[in-house]
Amino acid sequence: MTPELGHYALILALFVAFFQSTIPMWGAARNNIYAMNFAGHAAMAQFLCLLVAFASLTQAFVTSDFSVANVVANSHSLQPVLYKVSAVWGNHEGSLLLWVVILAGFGALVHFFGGNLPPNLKSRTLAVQAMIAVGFLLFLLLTSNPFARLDPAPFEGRSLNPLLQDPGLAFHPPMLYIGYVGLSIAYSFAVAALIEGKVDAAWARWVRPWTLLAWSFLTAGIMLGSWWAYYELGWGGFWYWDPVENASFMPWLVATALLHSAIVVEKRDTLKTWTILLAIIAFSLSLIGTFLVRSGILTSVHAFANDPERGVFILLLLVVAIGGSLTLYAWRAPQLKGGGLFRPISREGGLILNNLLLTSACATVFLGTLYPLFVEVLGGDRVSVGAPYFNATFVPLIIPLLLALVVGPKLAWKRGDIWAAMAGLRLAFFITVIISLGVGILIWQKSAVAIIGLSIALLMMLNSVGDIYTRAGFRKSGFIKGLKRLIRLPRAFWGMTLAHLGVAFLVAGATGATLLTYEKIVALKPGQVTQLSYFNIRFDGANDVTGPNYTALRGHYSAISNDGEIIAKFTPERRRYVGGGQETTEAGIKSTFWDDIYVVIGDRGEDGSYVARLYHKPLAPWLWWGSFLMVSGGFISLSDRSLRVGAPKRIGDNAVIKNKIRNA
Amino acid sequence: MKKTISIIFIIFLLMPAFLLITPFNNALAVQPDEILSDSKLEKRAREISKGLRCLVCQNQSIDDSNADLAKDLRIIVRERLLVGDSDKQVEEYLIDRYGNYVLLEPPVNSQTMILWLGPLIILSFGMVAVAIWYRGIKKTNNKNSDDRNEDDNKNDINIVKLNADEQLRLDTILKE
Amino acid sequence: MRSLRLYAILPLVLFIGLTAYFLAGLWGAQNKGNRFIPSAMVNKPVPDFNLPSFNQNFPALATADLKGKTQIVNFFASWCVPCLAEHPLITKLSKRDDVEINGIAYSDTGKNIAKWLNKHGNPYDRVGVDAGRRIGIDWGVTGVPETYIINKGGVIIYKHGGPLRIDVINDEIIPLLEEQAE
Repeated sequence: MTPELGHYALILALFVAFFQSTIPMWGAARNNIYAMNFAGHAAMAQFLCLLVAFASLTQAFVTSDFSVANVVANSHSLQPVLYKVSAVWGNHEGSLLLWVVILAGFGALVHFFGGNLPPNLKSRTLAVQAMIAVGFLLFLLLTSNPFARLDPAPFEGRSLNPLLQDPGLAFHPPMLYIGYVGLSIAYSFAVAALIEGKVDAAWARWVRPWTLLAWSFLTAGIMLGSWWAYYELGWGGFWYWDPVENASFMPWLVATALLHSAIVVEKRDTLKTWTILLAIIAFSLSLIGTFLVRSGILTSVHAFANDPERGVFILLLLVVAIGGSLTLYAWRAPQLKGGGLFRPISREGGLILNNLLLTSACATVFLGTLYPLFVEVLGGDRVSVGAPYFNATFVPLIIPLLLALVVGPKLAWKRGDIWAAMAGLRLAFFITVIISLGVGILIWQKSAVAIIGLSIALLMMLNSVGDIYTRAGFRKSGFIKGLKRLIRLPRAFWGMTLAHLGVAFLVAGATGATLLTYEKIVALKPGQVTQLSYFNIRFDGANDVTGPNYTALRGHYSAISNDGEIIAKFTPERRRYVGGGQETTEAGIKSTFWDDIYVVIGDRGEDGSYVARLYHKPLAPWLWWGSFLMVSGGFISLSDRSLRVGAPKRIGDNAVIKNKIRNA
Repeated sequence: MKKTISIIFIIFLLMPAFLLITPFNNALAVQPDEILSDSKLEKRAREISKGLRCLVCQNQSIDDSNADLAKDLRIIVRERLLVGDSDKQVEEYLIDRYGNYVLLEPPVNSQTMILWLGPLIILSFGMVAVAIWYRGIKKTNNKNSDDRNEDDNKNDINIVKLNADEQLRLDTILKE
Repeated sequence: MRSLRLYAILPLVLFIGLTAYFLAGLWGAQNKGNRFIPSAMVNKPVPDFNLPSFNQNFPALATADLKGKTQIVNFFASWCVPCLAEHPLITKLSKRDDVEINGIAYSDTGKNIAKWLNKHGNPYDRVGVDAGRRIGIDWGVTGVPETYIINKGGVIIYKHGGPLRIDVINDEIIPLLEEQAE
């Protein structure tokens, strides 16, 4: 019964969305307060309908209702409950349902928290949001119905792909989608502003928190996926420049640029047309990413469906959403009035440099990802674009960006003094050079390039520490008073500082994990010890184990000190799953603050030995610490009151009050 | 002192150039029985393998993959090296059979020029666009302030009229 | 401001171009399937090889056999499910007069191949067993099944990666075979 309820709720949501997209838009044009207020209520109703639909699908999975085709394809009665739930979004139809639920959720949030938005802007924004919903709901209902039934219902499901049966990967899609879909709010705000013909500091103030929210979740989602690849795939790699990875990375780059350019609009009332364009592009890249993953146009292990028919539908959505907004932009943007002047060396200049480098980096990733497609369409010789290309083109763009990150915030608005800014860095620079020389002597044989990455990261970290020190005023007021001031510093400052510090840790971690890994491949008999950089690793034997829905070969390894004491234990596994017969490797990882030891068990040799792949990865944990800091920084900034208060309501926009005044 | 700082800073900015010439390092999938006894040849084999695509995987090199085909190709790379092929010849051997697609790094030829020059072109375009935009707002702002000055000065009796000397000093200060 | 209008239109223009590529890409994706299968050996002569058969009684396969008449070489394996799916189509092709059908068993043993052919029928005129997958690499094979057409002069003129389908046979293979027969 319940799948039908879910199906019905989905259809109902479509109708609500349709009205939500039309009535408020008309209301804003005619200043009809009732039509405008309809938007908020419709948004709540739409969200409720979709919650019901989602709950119904979840229930079908949890109760293993094999009359629903989706459950058969992605679940199994022996599957752990966590993975029955995560299977809801571990497939094309279910993940699309999650998409629209989150889309509606954001709309509801705008209504909930947007009390002081001028009605015209709010109603138009929610109307645009609903237009997107109509598109995706139609797509769901017409081509990808999650509630499709099977008659007769099979006895058992085919189970979720074992690679997806993993805690990291269970949470990766929801986080990622909140990020992707959250960017739709910035998009809707931008389109609404273009329709209205007005972009001002208040608009920027409203856009920033939503972009920050989406950005934080997007960062978390990407990090989870990367972390999963690291411990699951067995090679210690965390980023492959796979087309689908790039599809999530591109919106992230543009969202970061958007966050920073919105600051300029808010503080200096300039860069408006550019910021509007960024808001449109960020969500457009989310949409293009959806297209790339689901249309079958790019081959990737991530790709859900390889159905070109579905691809055409999504392409249609793209044409309407992106083509429509860009047409509106081409028409209206030149009419937006520009703002104040500033010197090239200034905070504005720094933020423009930030935007220039981030968007160029995004365009580079775009080019590399789509180039094979371009070549194929033009009939040329198929080439493949992988890590070597991106390392050579993307990384050189990021390095100046990181340096700008250090200097930029120190510059004043309008007219900055770069020498004063750099003078503030003197101590940090000096310490960095000394430590870099020291570290360089240790590692230059392994990788000279790594020194660059590590130095920049160190400079950034020292700079952050210095910033905190200066803002707290330790020098002037002493330790206790400084500490007090530190706690009371605005959260926006903490958010920025932590996020930037996170970037530093990320850069150091990426450098260490990529360039400074020590590896050893050796066949070991039980009891044998081998040396891995400055660790001793002993193989303690292997045995067969059984899990809830798999059997596995489990290896036991210990890291022992020179005295023979056990420092750490590892239990890597090679699993074979029931249902599909697929094999996965689970690495045994020991993380300290500074590095990872990573152990994978391989094949059995004829003499009873087992192949072991051992890695020592310095600084690898900093990849995750850095990401965590970035996400935390985002959320802390979000909690800053100034971001949520927004600009005061303008009396003139409210038609009811206008009427009251007229009639008084 | 300012000069020294700027020189060091510029060197810092130029360091990315090193990245273009030094190859990156990555993980291995090589089995113990594949490893050649000649460490120099083995090093070459690993370098070459990192640049060869595992044709049945997604964006992984044959150095990085468990697949049977990856293992076969790793062994072939080592065999060709043992026979005396140069790095280029080993790659050619595989390109003959699988086309340019087997290279993870796209070749640099007239077809792929747009791929390799693309990022530079994009960045340059961006810089030019910013420069043009900046000139544009400078002009509008000067025009606006000129217009405003004329109107204001007529009506505002409180505007202090600077004499020629003071005006010159003001201009010099503003120019800095 | 005219220059600003020019810049404002640029994103739209770029997007229109992008859409055109996507459309073209979708068109191509109809027939491609999941994985890109390189076909660098087309228009090159058949590589040098000499493979044993799966038992003593059945003819083996070597380079010298692949000329004089239009030849099809079908890479297959007993462990390969899509190969079983395309088997009836291969059998159908084997009934034609204008072509000889040869099989190369990829990453397999003679014993398993004998069993498989016994069970499902043997459409091949000759079979070679490439247990070590090395000959497959010389042909540019990345998986099974893959099917090649060789002309009378011993040059590979066509490759299809993945299992054969009826539309591929009717639209691509049969016209090619008929063309070669003239």
